[in-house]
Amino acid sequence: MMNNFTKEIIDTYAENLLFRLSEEENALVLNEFVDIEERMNLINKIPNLSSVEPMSHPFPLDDVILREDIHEESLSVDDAFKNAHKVTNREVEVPRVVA
Amino acid sequence: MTINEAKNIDLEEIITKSNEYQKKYNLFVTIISDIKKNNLNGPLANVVYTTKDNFSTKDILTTASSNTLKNYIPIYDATVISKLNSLGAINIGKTAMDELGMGGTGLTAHTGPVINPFDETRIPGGSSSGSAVSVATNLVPFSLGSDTGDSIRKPAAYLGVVGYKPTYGLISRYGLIPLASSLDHVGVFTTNVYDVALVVDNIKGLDENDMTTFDSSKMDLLSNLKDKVNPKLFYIEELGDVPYFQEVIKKLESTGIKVEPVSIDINILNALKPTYDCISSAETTSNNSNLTGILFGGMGEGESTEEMMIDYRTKNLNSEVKRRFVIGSFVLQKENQEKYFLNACRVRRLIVENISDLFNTYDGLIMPASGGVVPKIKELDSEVNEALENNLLIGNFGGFPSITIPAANIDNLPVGINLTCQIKEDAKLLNIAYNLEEIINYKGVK
Repeated sequence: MMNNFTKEIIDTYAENLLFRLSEEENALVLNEFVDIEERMNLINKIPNLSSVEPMSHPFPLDDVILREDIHEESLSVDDAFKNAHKVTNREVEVPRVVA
Repeated sequence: MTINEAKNIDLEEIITKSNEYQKKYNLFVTIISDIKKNNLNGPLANVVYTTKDNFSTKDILTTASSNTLKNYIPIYDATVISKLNSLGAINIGKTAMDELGMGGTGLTAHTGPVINPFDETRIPGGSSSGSAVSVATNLVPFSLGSDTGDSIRKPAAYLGVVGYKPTYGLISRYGLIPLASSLDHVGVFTTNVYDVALVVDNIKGLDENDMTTFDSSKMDLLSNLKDKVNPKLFYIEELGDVPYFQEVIKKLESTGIKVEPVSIDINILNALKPTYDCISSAETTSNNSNLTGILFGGMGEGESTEEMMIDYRTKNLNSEVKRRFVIGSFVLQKENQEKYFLNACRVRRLIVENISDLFNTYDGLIMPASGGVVPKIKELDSEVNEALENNLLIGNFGGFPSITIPAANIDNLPVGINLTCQIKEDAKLLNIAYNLEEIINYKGVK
């Protein structure tokens, strides 16, 4: 099968997910993509798929009962910031957006 | 080691042993040495256990074996951890796993590869690698794991222990770092089926923090083990030509258990793995978008928030995780959604309905948990029968309860069989497995 993918396409996929690939990582994925697409296409070998309802949950959740709203204490500020790296007063510190 | 045998373990000895095993097998991310006995009574009181490092543990490092979470200390316990704590069970360590649950080798944890205790040239299996090793080496009688594709049931087979994932929603996933939400299950490793029932009776149930849980208060797994059912089982003919598996079938048939081959369209079987790849990659891409380093985990460098997130994710996600994210991104591209992602969801329905229909005729599906013994690290790229090696995915697609029990040794390495039943028939599943365990009478690795 011809490779419809390019280094740039793979980089775009990665950048959309907010990470970059090294040259080596990109080459690895690029080389594999023909194979990945070929395997993905095994799905499309099954006839009459368009008439099947896509399944997004293992089985219907038919006994979910939504409870009444209950007032609860939310997370404390201290807890919320416990794992944040840079905290100033009650805010996480990041670079200024507006000059 | 059974749960009953673990009752009188000396805690100092177990910590010493944990450190010793850590040097040999690299199975832990964290050994919890600040532990003490309690005055509680009950079947799990003062029983030591381990948990995969993707369960949130209050004030205890929880990394999911990823550099993105290498400093993350949860502020709450996962529901299963709270339940075990309240019963007096003692968590002695957080076990290493394939990073964020992505992988089945045990080689990708940020703390380095987990070592197979029976042969260090082979993988231990994954992603719940350290958990499987902790039970296989008799360090603890049970361990918590998670299973999105086969991450409990496959390493269990490779290491000669019992691995169970319940019906989707039987055990709460609140506090479990997610991989693919429609496929993720919490489950356990033990050395025997009785102990699965004992642990799961105590950790299952409705949880207001996990709306996928269902009411199972009338399901009593332990007491249901007593009266043996004489099951009628089927296996998938196209995937059943595995010598050790056929031996097991002969053994079962000699006791009067019916096991029949059923043919399933080979195109559907060949689509098992790509269907999983599409759905799991798409879901995990979305679930892990919060690993930005801004609110937890550390912080990247850059002149804008976006640059900081890119820097953080680029430096801290491993190549396998990035690969899966790229696949997820590919199948979710507007032009690919219908062809790949939605068609995968359609194939999922066909597979699930096909198997579910067969559960109207049969009590359970019995399958080889793998095509053979655990692979060597250097042979990981070898070609395998993809449909056979990925047959356990059926359990995740349909949320079916599914258990692996040891079946035999080949060249002194374990292999297992897997049993799967209709949803919410966990009691029947364990009853049959308990019966099969007795018939097979596996003696362990010498």
